[in-house]
Amino acid sequence: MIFRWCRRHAGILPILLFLVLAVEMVLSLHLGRYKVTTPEIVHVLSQTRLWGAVGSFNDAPWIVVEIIRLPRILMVTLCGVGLALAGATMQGVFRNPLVGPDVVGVSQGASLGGVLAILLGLEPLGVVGMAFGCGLLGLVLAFLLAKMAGRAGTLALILSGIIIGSFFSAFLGLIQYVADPQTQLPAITYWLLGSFASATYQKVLVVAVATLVAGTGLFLLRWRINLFSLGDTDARMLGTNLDPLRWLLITFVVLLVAAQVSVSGGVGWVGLIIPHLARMLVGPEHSKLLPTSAFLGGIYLLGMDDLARSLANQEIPIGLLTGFVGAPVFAVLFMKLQSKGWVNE
Amino acid sequence: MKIGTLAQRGVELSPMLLMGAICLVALGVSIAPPSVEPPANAKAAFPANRAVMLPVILSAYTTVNGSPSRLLGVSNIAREWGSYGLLGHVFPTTARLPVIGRYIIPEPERLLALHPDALFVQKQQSEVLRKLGMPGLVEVSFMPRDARKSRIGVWQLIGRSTANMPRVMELVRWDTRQRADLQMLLGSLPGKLPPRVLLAHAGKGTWSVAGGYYAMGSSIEEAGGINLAGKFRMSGQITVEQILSLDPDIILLDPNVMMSPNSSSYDVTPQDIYNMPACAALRAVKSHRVYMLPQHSYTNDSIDDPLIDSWMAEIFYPDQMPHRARAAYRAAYRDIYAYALSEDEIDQQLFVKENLNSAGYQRFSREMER
Repeated sequence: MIFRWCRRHAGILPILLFLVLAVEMVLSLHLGRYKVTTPEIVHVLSQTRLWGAVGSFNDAPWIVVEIIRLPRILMVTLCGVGLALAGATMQGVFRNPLVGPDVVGVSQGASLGGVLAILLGLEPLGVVGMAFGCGLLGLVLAFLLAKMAGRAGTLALILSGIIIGSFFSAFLGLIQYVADPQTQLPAITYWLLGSFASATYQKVLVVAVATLVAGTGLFLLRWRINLFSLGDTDARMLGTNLDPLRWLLITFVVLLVAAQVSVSGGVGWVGLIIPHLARMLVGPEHSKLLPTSAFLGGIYLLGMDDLARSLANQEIPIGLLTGFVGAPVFAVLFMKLQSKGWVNE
Repeated sequence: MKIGTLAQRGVELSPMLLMGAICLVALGVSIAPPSVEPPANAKAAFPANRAVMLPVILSAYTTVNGSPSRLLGVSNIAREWGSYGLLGHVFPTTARLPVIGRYIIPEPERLLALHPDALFVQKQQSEVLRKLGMPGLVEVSFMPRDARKSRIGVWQLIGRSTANMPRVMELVRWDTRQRADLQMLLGSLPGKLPPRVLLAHAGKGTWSVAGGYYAMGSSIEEAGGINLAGKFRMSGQITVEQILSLDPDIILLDPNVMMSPNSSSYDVTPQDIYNMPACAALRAVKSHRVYMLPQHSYTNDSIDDPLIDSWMAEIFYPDQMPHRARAAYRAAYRDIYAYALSEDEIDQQLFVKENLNSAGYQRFSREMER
């Protein structure tokens, strides 16, 4: 019943989801190990943001709200939005519900870059830069390999992506093998598991720029993504060459994924399950699917992060949590979709 | 254009505008982060009476401070290692210290809620916490290639923080005396040929050796041996074939496993090595010179480590060095911790049962001491 209602009101659903996300963000400001009351939060935000008051490191509620929780909530939300957008786009472009950013070597490249930066002892901004650069490198290599093989289209790119991704994963294993077990290895392992605990405004800036640029690009191309449902051959018969569009869309995806991995390490499953859920709610048409996925992604990842930092005595790496929740949810969605068939969408 | 069409277009475009709004808010907030006064009370209190500790230096802390009483909480692995081995018997309350987070990624809100007056952190943690304005950071660093320097550095850091410098001086004097005694004994050995030693952790079918970065490698040199794996910069896995080509005179099996002493105890004993057909051709196996290394702290920061240097020298030069390991442990724990070790505790520390089939290890048994 809820799915039918959503499909009937697919136009306003993204607005409703945005409101849910906004409420969740406000509630998340209240969650954490340090008790901060609503009046304190309002006071801190109004004083700093509206009146430009100078904060103090001796004021614990101010530190908690302004320095710890606000950048974290913004960063998690943007990462959720970005990953879901990336997943929805990839699944549309490749006409395959099992495709995610991992397939074209972006995630592995970004992870390798981040780990390399930790190994070299670079500053946090260096980790961001290296992850971003290697994420892009992964994609470029996958493209070049596909081109060198003389094959165009989806399959060649997926195969090249798997090859490049495997190579990067092996490199990642080598770095973990040689890392100092007392100083570097724990940091690398924790980073790979994924965490938003070290959110800063610098990192928010990185993700915000990437999401704004790539999100706007994807949104403007939302109608054109539907063309991929025709398939390369049919589209060509209608006089449309999908290759340039495919490259452009994947570049946007890389931007989103590399930005996320560079600031928070590996956070899996979001780009896979959220587009599925969104497709069940509003159908496969990308003008509705993209915004629905984006807001659902933000809601989901922020919820997971709230759980990660409040569920147990110690913070749980969010990558573990999204994995534990993502796999069974995906199994259920998969069964539901299989019963209807991917094509009927 | 009709109003209905405009409304429809508005509904259509609104998700894009809302998504853009989120990004723009985040951009605005991050481009203009809040202004903040420099921290007025950034230094750790002296002496620190409400300290929190994230690195694995609890054994050094209890050694210097005499108890963990002034600690509000520690990281998970600091507690695990601090309550491991004999120090866990000497300071049983360490096992009940509140755990306040994981080792590498600190939880700033939790730390703030505790209001500590000193926070012991390693370098990579301190950068994050300093940006958050966390007061009272005490940065800990280790020297992986030199266990002794690293140990004394950590003792001094804790001594300064807890106003226990006289105690640290006493510990350093004791450490220096131990070293001097050992060097004098080793220096007096006539025409000694240093044994070639391999320090390894043997698992089920795997071997990892202590490379030059592993602090225990320097202990081998201190005790008059040659660290065969010292040429490997990092610690890491090697194959039995490599061990065969190195063919060490002595193999020391390290009971410490990475990160957690409770995750598994030692996997392989000397007897298991003697029973392995693949190892039968090794010189150390033929001469039954494979030994479990006594238990030691994770970052080599307790008094166990100088005692292990002496133990190693006895293993390396069994005929020339005096038999004193058991007595040395007993005296050190009595003098430094005012703790009377039982014979069973010494047996467990020295792995007497596990090592009994190895050459000359009977000398470490309580019966031989009498």
